[in-house]
Amino acid sequence: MQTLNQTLESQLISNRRLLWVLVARDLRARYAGSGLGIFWSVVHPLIMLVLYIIVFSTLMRGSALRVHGVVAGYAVFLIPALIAWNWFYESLIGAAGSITGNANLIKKVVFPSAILPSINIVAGAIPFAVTMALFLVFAWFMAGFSIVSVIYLPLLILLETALIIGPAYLFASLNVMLRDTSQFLIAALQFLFWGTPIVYTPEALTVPFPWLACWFDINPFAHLAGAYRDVIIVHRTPMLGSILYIAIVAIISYHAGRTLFLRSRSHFPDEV
Amino acid sequence: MPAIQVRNLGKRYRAYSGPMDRLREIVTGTPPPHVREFVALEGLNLDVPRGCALGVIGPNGAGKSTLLKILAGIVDPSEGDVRLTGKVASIIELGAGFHPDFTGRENVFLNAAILGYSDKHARSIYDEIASFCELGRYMDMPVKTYSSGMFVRLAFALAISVKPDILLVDEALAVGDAVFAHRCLARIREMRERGVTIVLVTHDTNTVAQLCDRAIFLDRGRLAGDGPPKDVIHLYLLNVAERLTTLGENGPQASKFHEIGALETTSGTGEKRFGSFEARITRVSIEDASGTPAIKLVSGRPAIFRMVVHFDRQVDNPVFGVMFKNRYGMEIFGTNTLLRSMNTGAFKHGDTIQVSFMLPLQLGGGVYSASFAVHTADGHFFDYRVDTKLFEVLGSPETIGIVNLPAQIKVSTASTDLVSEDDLFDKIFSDAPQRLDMGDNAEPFLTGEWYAAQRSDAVWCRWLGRQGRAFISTPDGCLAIRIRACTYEPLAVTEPLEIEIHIGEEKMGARGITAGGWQDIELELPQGHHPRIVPVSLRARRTWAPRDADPLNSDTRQLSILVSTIEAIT
Repeated sequence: MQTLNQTLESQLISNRRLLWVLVARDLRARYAGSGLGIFWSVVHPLIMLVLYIIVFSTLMRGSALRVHGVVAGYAVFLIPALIAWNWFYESLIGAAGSITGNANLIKKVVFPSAILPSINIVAGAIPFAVTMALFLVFAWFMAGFSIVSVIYLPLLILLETALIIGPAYLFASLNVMLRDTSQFLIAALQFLFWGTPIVYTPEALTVPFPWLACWFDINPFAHLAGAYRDVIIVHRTPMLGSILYIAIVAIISYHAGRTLFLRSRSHFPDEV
Repeated sequence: MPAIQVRNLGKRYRAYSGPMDRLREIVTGTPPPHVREFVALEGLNLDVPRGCALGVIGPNGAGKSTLLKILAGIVDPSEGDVRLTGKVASIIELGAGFHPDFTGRENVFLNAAILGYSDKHARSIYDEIASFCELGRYMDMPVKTYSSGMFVRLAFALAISVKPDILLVDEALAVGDAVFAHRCLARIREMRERGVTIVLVTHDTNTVAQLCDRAIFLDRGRLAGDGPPKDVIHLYLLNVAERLTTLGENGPQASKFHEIGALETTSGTGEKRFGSFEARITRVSIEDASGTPAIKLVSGRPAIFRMVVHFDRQVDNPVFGVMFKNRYGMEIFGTNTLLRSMNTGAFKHGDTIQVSFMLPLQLGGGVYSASFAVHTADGHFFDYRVDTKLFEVLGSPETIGIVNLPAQIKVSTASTDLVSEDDLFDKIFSDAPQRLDMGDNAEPFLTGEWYAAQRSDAVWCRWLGRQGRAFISTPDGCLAIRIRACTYEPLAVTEPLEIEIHIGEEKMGARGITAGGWQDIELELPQGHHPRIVPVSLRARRTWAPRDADPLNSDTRQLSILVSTIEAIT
């Protein structure tokens, strides 16, 4: 009876050890049977980093961009926002299928379902953190050490986590009722990806299409991408407005996701 | 304070017309106006005292599994209160939390975490789990490489490692090999003796009868019976029989049943009856060997089960059958004229006939029910009287168990070097005749695949399967052994059916039997044969089933030749 009456937060806190075990299960299952095992989660991002840097900074010289007066190679421009996006993307796609993909646990075992959507967030944070750390070292090596990135990066990671959680629980619950949700999500995230200044600078689009500035203002991920670049490349404090805006969107979406999850939770055993 | 307390428990499932309906309800909090509700459980009150083993039985969809899931905390009740005192372990499905790519060891630790154990605790129970499931080195292999039996062993060992105060089990033990299933039951029994409260959901009334000290019977979500397992099981089985009747009423055969007769049930002995009643069983009786009606019969003695059937329409070759069940409703013995390939003949409107089943009542002591039926070969029931007569078998003081097999016990010296096989035959088959006619009297002297005695061309004979032995005594001066046999195998017309024959140790070679009438095979005994009991072994080179030769024939027995006599000739 216990598990069914607990709130989302208390279930997460009281089952944090189980969460870790399941994150470990998730990571290990991904590489089960392979020789390098969990090291692949470091090898993949490392290869990605090296290839981006080689392709964009060495092979395609001259594609350097100006970001707030700082000249940066395209790879350096691209990577912080891209790895932040990858974590966001992988977490949401994983979370959307987390309830439906664990029907056995939901139906046959006394199990705190509230930890399932969080598993992918935590599991995705590990390659994200590894890549970010490697890139940070690379950036320092190229442009010199900056205390700004050390101070603000944890804040941005916290904000991104907050921004992921709400939609994660929302889509996890929705996907139980509407199985099209995860496919819809994949499509929608494609649009969001190209609608966010990740592979291009905001100016690249707002100069020819001024009305897009409005869209970038309401797109929280545009603010987040900008903030990551501010901290890592420009070495300046992210804009307060961006941070507040992301925090507000995160709180609202968290509330929505949490409410839908708690209300639909008792339907899970019937539907999965 | 009882271990489990259930008050006015109800569970309703809503049949939503689509996923959007359910979503709308979740978002707005009010159910759609036109939604249909399905009641899984209703108004259930239950107190299970500590240490009680409760069996939950009922037909599919009665709410058994829902109850268990609510007790386990997997499913929310719609209304009412459930209170469990103590640590609860549930086995809804064995191995539900397993990851196929992980080794047995890793899965133990993964599931220990799901159960909420600390790492230290998980390590401390690991050895116990490993020794109970006896998987040895397989513990370090991925569980996807396990056989289903191994998987179940590990899962059960893990499930009971919780050392619960309350154990909830759902049918999970029906899988795995028999030896392990037995061990699981033994472990559950042991837990019960230690004072663990057990709730067992199952279809298997035998398990409930063996394991539980109380049973409840759920029917359409309601408590339909509660008490000692024996009584509740009886109630359940009656209900199943009734359901069979109702099924007949609403099922695909409905039109047939309503053509002439109406459905009818008679109470009293608890008899259930259904069919179209185009032919009716008007009277049934059970008689002892002397033909005196009796309800108490002696184990091992002959008995006659008789029914009188009245036909209200013309019927060709109806099937007459009888079935005995024990007090748990387990089918102990049944036979009918179809299984025996008997042609019962043609009957016309107004005929009244009598059918007698004569048999030695080789059952263990206890109360049994007899059911009688008249139906067609394709399963259209004219009249099925289920559990129409109860009879008691007075057990033999010489035997125990549910059947009373005619056993003979011989005790002899075990110094095998002194007792040759021949001597042994002389002892065991000491009264073997010189001439064996294949009637019922021959039974004690036959081993191997011989079928029941039957009459053909006015002689007693019986079919041989692939191989069989007959023991006959060979007197002084015996020269040969003669076997009278024939075959109806279609192939034998062109190609004789070859039978390989051994007498004692001696191989006598093979003889062919051709189709068409009785033939004698004579086998000369070797010189210097001394009088003794000899086994005559017959081994057919091929067999056939009448079914293969004629698709309309229901006889699927594997046959070779038909033998009428085996005799030693001087």
